[in-house]
Amino acid sequence: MTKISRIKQLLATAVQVAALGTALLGGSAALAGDDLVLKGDAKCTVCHDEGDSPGVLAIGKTKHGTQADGRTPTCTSCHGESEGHVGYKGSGKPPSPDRTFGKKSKNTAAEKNTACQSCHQSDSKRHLWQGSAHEMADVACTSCHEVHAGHDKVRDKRTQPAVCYACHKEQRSQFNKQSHHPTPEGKVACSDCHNPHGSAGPKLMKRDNVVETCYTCHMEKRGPFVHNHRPVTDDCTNCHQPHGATADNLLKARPPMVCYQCHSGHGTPGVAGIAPPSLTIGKANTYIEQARGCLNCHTEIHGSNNPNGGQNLLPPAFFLR
Amino acid sequence: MSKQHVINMKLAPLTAALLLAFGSSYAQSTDEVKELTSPEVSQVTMGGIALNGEANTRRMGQYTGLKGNGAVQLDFEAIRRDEETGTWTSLVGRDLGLDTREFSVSQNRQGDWRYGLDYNEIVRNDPYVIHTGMTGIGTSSPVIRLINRPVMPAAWITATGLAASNGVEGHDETLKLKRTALGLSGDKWISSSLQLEVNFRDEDKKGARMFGRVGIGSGDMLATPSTTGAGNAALLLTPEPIDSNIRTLEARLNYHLDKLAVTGGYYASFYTNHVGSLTPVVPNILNRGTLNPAVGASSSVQQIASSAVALPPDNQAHQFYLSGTYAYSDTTRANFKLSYTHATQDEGFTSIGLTPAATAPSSLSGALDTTLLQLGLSMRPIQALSVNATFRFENRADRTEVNVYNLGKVGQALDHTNNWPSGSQQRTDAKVEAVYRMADGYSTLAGVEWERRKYPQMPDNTAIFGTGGLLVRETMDESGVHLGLRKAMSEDLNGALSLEFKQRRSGDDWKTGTNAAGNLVVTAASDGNFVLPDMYMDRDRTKVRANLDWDANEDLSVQMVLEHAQDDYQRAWKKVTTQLIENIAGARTMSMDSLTLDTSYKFSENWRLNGYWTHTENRWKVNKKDLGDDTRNRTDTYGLGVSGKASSRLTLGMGLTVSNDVLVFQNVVTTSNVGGVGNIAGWTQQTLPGNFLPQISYNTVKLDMYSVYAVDKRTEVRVNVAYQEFKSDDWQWAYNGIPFVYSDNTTVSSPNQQAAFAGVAFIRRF
Repeated sequence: MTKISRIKQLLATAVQVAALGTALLGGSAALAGDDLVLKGDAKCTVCHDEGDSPGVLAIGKTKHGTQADGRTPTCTSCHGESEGHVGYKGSGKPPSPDRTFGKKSKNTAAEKNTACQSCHQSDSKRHLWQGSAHEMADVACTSCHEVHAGHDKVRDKRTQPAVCYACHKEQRSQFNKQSHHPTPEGKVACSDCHNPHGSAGPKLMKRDNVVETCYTCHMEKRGPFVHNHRPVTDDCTNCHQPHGATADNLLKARPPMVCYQCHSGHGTPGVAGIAPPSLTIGKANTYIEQARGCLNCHTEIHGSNNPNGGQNLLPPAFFLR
Repeated sequence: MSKQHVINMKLAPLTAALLLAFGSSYAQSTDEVKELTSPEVSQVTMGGIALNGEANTRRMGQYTGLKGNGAVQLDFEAIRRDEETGTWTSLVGRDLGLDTREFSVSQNRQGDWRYGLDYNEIVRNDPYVIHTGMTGIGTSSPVIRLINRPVMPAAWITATGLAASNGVEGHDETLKLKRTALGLSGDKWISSSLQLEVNFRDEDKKGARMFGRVGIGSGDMLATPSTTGAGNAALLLTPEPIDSNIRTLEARLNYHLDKLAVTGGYYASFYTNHVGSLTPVVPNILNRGTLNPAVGASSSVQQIASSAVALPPDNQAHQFYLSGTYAYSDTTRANFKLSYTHATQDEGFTSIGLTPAATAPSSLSGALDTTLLQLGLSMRPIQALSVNATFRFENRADRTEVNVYNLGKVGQALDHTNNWPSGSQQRTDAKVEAVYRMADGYSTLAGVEWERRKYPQMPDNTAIFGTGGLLVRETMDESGVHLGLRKAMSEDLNGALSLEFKQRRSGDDWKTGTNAAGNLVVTAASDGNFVLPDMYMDRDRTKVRANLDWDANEDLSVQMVLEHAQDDYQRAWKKVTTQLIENIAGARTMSMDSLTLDTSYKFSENWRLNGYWTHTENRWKVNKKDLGDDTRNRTDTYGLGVSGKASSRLTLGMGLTVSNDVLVFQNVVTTSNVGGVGNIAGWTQQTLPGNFLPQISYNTVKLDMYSVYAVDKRTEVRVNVAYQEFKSDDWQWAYNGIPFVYSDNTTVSSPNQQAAFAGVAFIRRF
């Protein structure tokens, strides 16, 4: 055999061995050194591939998996270089990566959040995260957000409430009451009123205070009016429970009870006061307890812009018209 | 033949065979990876929904639009990502066959630009049924028509003296509100550090909602009432017509570089009401006979009932703000927000059907300026300790012009009165909190906070409220402490406890206004018919929350949350001449207690169960002039869900929610009305049923079941069956068979409902 033909035979053997190896390794598309989803993920996806961790690869379906965007992170951007985990050669369970985000993670919320904040701190809606109620309660970004999922439930208004209910049980019960914002119906999300990442308003209100947040949709209450009702301009939650209430119109209690917070009112309530309909319409009994209660007459309860009685008509100062 | 050649010859068929069997697996796994990582979606859902009629589905369809006999279901979703440029394209349509349809289209080149358009409908179908003769509901001039007297026991007909039926039949009406919104948004990265964002929203709201209209006693409008009796008043349900528009525009310029991130923004909002006033057309004969005529200088009851009701005026607001954050170091960061808002309302009175008073201007010239400053500082001086301090100052200045309005009762003080711009207030908040992480998984939190609210001096209000009147205070201070303890007891058990105590006090006496000399005054006497707002009352607040989170094993987890919150209002002390008199009127105690148990159990590889129970008790205790009101609301909510795969193609699921809500009213009536200047000995506990309002219960059951069958990789059939039941014995609109009756014999009902829903949908992916 000539030298050349010997070389050719050796090459043919090498090619067949390589092809065999490729076929036998065909269960993984990650040949050593090949990234699977993100740039530089090869050292992770050599183990966490579609056979071992299909859920992990779902990050590719998200903005975090868009390779054309130069800002897109890789595994180690969030989980740390994790040399101990990657280089482990033993037969048992390897040490955890430097940073993990599951429920049993040994990392603190602050340590987990550092990964996210390295990119997202500059977002305009997250400027007030430090010192916010969620940050002080040690809520991690991954307590609410799913990064390795094509559908991040908290960012879809139909599924967002269920994420919030994990901690906010009272609100879940309130939304089941007969008068409620259409949040269970998927039309108003928690994040339509609250900014969970921090806010200048109380209770993480999206705008700077309660009234301005409510005016976003209920702007007819803003006024100002000729005749203002002080608790209305002060804070809508003086009378309303915005998540859900037993009384109509999201009132904390039905009129006249809600009005008794401040007003001594007129007329004596009680069983006799709700039947029968009285001959003389007046400021008592059925007319303060049934139907719309005090609002049967004081209908302009949020304020009246009526400037004038004229011909001795009803005084708008009492929100009668 | 060489040895190498023999090896190759033996390998070749083996190689060929294995490549045939497994070589395609490389391509297959590449496809699998692509499926796992590609966001591409192309999906259409089409189907039909059957419902059991309008009468049964009003509650279920309140916000879902699912009422009547049926509907079409149509959804689609298409998402693409260009891997070369990182550009996303999205087209989504939901509920296109319903009144709650949504549609959105957007494109986003990540890190560069984005634009989007979205369309959204929100509907509210009022569950009440109005039986009436009224026409023109939803317009600015509904026409009132007297209809037949409603059915009621003969004894009550005699007692009420309602006029005999006039032979005119009423008809059933239901009210509806619909919002239709169009949004446009976009952003552009001008450089790697500078981004511009713009959002615009335009929302129309149309329909009608419950409202009221009263015309009370013509003689009552004189200084000395001279006529009463059956024709003395008219009470009508005249729905408020809604035809309005809200527009918002927000633009933000975001800049970040190294340690600094700052945003400058502008937010404008405009409210336009196409219906300025409500002027019903009222006949002179209603169910108590002819309405009283004008007496002296007064108006007739018909005139009063037909007079214009002012509806919300147009208004607008413009806000400028600056917010940002600066990282001094890895462990120290500051943030801030500064904003200024100028809100105005200057709708002309005559243009919306209202008559200005002789001396009043043509519009309010209302203006409210709000300035906000918030500063925050976060530090981690050592690894285990985090400290945070926040300062917030908000000043609302009501700059509305003061003019003379209100031509009220002739000869009484309401005749010619100034308006009172009452929107001014100032709030200052300061808070310091620290979290310390100790060994063994303990974490403690301690915080102190302080808030001051200042309200401006107000004009003398005795003209409006009489002696005793409206009681206010100028300055309220609230301070509190917040403590918390968290413990990771093990990998599987975590718990937390938090306590909050706050105390609100004022150094001011209660005042009724400012006299001509500019001094705050307290009137010498009180007739007990006063206004004592709880926002000015001394108050003690307590909040306790405890929760436990237990992962019993890989399959079972249990969560428990216990909460208690209570506000105790202190008695109001009022200075009357030279002595302090205790007023026990006003808010007393508001409290909330809640216990929740949640569980999640994976009882096989394919099946999961979750359930919860929440028990809540709310208590509302207020005192008024001659009544102590103690209302309790007890709620129990149960939830159960099961989901899983019955086979490789069939997925099943069920969700059940049951809610029981009970309202109990307990009233305490004083046997001697001492004009509100409290005398506890004079208050007598009433015995059941006595003078107590009857209790009310609300019960709802919601059952949803679904199945999804995968016909093939691209096609699924989904079947949904749902049942909803709503039952209540609320006496709001009727009691013991006797309806609440308006003066035109309009009645309202809220029937119990049993709604059934069945839907079939085909889902096709492309």
